[in-house]
Amino acid sequence: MKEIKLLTRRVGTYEPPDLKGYEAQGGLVALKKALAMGPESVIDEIKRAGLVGRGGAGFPTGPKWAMVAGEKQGQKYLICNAEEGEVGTFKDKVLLDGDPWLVLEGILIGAFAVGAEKTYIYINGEYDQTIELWDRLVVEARKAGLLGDDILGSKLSVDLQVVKSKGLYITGEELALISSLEMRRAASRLKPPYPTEKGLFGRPTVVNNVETLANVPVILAEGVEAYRRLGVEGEPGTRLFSLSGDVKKSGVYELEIGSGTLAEFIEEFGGGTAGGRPIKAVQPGGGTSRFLAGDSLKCKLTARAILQAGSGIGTAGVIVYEEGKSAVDIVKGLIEFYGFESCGRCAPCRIGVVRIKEIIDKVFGGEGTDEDLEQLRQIGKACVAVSTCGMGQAFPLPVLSALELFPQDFEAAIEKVSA
Amino acid sequence: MKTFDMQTYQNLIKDVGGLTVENLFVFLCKVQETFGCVPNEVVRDVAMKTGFSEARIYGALTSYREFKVGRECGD
Repeated sequence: MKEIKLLTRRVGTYEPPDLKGYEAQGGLVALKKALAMGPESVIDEIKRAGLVGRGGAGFPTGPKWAMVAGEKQGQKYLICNAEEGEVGTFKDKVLLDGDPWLVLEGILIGAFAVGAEKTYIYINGEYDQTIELWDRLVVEARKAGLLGDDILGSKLSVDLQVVKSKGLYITGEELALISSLEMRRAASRLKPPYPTEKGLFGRPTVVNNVETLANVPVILAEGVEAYRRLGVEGEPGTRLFSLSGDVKKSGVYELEIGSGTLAEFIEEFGGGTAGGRPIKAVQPGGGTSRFLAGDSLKCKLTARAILQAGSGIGTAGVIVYEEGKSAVDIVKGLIEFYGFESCGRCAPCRIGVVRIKEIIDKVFGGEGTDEDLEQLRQIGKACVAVSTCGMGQAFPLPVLSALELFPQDFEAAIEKVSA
Repeated sequence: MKTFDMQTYQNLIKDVGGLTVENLFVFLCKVQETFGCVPNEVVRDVAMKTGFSEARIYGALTSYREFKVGRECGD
C-alpha cells in the first residue's frame, strides 16, 4: 500500500494564496478546458468519470449537477460544504489550507457547469486560519479576474462568499446549512424537496463537499480515462482518509480506492495501535458509523466492501480503538457529543438522543439492567427509522453496533452492580 | 472589539457591497465579529432593509451559540 498524490500533490509546494505557484504546476488548465468545452460536456465528463460525493452520503456528482443545470431560468446557487464537523474527520482542511486554488477551481467549474452565479463556501468556525486564508484568496482571485464578471475573458460571472460557520455540528447537513444562510435556525427539513429542486431561497442549489469539488479539476485536467484507471470498478479515483484514535501516527492520507485493507492501512500508515495492544474496534466513516471488529477489518478500502463488512465509508474518517477500553465507555463519549448537537427539529432525534444518553450514563454508572439494554436497542432503531436528517438516522448506529459486537462489555457494566 | 457606532456599521455594509437577502447571514457574522454582539438597532435596520421580520432574525440569531443579541449586548 502506498500513498497516491492526486488531489494533494500540490499541498506544501506553494504558499497560498500565491496564484503563480499554483499556475506553475498545471493550475487553471482544467478551468480553461471547461470554459472551452461548455457546461453540458463538463457534466458529461464528470458523469463518465463516475465521481461520487465525498461528504458522507456518497451521491453521484454528475447527476446532481445535471438536475440543477436542467433548470434554465433564474438564480441558482452552488455551496461548497467545508463545515467538516464529523467526529474524526479532518481531510478537507488539508485541501483548504494546502491547495485552496484547487478547491476554488472546482467551485468555478461547478458553477459554470450548473449555471450558478452565486457561490458560497461554508467553513467550519474553528478553522480560524483557514477562514483568514480564504478571505485573502477571494481578494487575490478578484484581482486575477477569477471571480467577478467575465472570468478569464469568458462570459462567465461567479461570485464567492466565504461564510464562517457558527459552531453547530448540524450545519454540516446540507439543508441545515441552507437554512442558516437563509437566516433561519440551523435545523434540517423534510426531504423532498431536495436542494437540487428547492434549495437556497427556494432556488435549485448544488451542495458539494470540498474533496468532491477538488476532484473536478483533476478529472478534467488528467482526462476521464486516466482518472478511471485508479480505484476499483464502480468507485474510481482516490480518497482522503483521516486516521485518528489509538494509533501511533494519526493524519490524512490519500489512497487509491481499494488499494488495501482497513487493517493494513492502520498498520502501515498509523504504525499500529498507540499502546501496542490489539485493535478492539474501528469506525471507518467518522463518529456516526458502525464499528468494525475482528475479521471485518480485512475488508478493502472501498465503499462497497466496507458496507458489506457491516459499516459505511461515510466521510472516510477512520477512528481506531484499541483493546482495554470498554465499549460502553466509547459510546458514552460519542453520544455525549451528539446529544449536545441535535438541532431539535424532529422528535425522534431530539428525545431519542437524550434518552440514549441517560441510559448509557446509567449503565456506565453501574446501575443498568437488562431492560435498559433492550430499551437502548428499541430507541436506537426508532431514531434510525424515522429521523428527518442524516444525523438522527446515524448517531444511534455506533450504539447499536456496540450492543451487537460487544454485548459482554454492557453485561459486565450491568453485572458490576448486581454482584 | 469595538463598541457599536453607526459609522463603522455603515462601512461594514459598504464592505459587503450593500445589504441583500443573500449576504445577510454573512453580514451579521461580520457585525458579531466587529462589535462582539448584534445590537437591537442593527436587527431593526437589517430587517427594514431586507424585508425579513425582526422575529425571524432574532429567532435565527438566538439559535446559534456564537451570536449575542439583546440583553447580552447591554440593550
